[in-house]
Amino acid sequence: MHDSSSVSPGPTPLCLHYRPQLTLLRTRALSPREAAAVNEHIASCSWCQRELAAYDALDAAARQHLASTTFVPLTLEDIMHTTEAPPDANMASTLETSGKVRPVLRRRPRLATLGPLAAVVALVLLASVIFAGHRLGPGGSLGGKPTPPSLTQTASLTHTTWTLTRLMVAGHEQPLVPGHAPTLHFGPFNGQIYGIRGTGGCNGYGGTYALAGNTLHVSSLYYQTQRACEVGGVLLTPQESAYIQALLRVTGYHLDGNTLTLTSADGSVQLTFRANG
Amino acid sequence: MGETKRSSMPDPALGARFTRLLDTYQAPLVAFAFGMVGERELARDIVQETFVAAWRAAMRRDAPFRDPCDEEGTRRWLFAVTYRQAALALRRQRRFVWRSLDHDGADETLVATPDIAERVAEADALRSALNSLNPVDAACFLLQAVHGFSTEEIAAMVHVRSGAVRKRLSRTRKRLRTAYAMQLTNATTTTEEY
Repeated sequence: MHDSSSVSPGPTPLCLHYRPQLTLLRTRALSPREAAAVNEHIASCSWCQRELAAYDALDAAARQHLASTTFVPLTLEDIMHTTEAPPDANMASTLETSGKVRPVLRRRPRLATLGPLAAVVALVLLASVIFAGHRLGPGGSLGGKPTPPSLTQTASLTHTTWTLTRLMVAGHEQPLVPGHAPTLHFGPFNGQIYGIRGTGGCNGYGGTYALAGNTLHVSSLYYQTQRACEVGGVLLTPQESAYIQALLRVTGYHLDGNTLTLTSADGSVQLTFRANG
Repeated sequence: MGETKRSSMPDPALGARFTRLLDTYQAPLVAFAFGMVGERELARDIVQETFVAAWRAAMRRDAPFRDPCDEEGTRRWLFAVTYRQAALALRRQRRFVWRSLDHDGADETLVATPDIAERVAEADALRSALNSLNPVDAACFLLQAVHGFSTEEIAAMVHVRSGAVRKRLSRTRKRLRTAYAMQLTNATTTTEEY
């Protein structure tokens, strides 16, 4: 993170005018017009550039430290057992009645009820295995691992590595530093079937993705390192931040030979990759 | 009785899809809930309740589970329910208090909290700062910065106008940035002392 609040020169009156918008520049909360005005000011203002770098660093730290935590994973059995509770415990309906508060309780399986439950769970798991077995080829992973709706398309991305060649955000092409373009590698990694890895040009990142039909969603991104890199006087942080923000907005993908295109739902974000190797 | 059992018997395809949802989303949801409530076990319980609600909704073929391809809608639904359940848990603990968006006086109080500045670990400092925030503000920040939701999506999840989400995001980012900078300054000072 770049914290240079004590470094001169200080903010100008124009900086103070743009400060609220600068805070929101990376959040997509600004209109294109507002964002353009702030970007224009930042281009010639070193104080605001440092401020923006500080916000970028905050976002990077948040993604690194707040995107995941250690916990005992829930299983389908846990969920199905809890659903055996009376229907009035339905949270979805309870949530609509803001005045009533239902305690959060964890219901552990009881031996006395395990018989019928086990039968139901076994049926579901058996069906999952059979379904997966029909679709997976040799070496396919079974036994409780996730089964995406379209394994054909998953297989086309699994174990592929890509390099970003073009990043479009709100109709503007974002500059990429030659030789330091972001990369994207689809897993599995270390047991995480839907894992992704790559580099933003400087720092490595990781995360997960979900695939269904033509939709692809990236989540739980985190940085593996938090370095600030500079190449030929050009800071890589803006490229990296723009790439990660864009990646988080992706909802769809299109595969055409050696070209992978990821797009956001509103079409304002487009990432074009070429296959490595 | 037999009929009841048949009706609760899960469709195999649904079971497979639900297993995948569980595997894909439980980690980010627990992290999100943990960011809001600050207790790991409570966060896990909240997410368990979310998936129980999801399972029931899926069994009823309610949206967004009616369409197996509606990944976006499903993800939004899961986060929205987790947010509401976390808010309920906090309200139960009397930690969830609605505050006016116009009241920004708490900023300096937050960043001046000594235990934040004294923490060396970055993650701890971030979490401490986050847990000192209004839970709605914390949720807005997490949903945007960590989980990539848009202002409009967040507005729908936390039931406020998108303009209010923008205000909350601006306020929260300023607070967290200051708290985070103080933590780094403190860490640097500590390092230099050695």
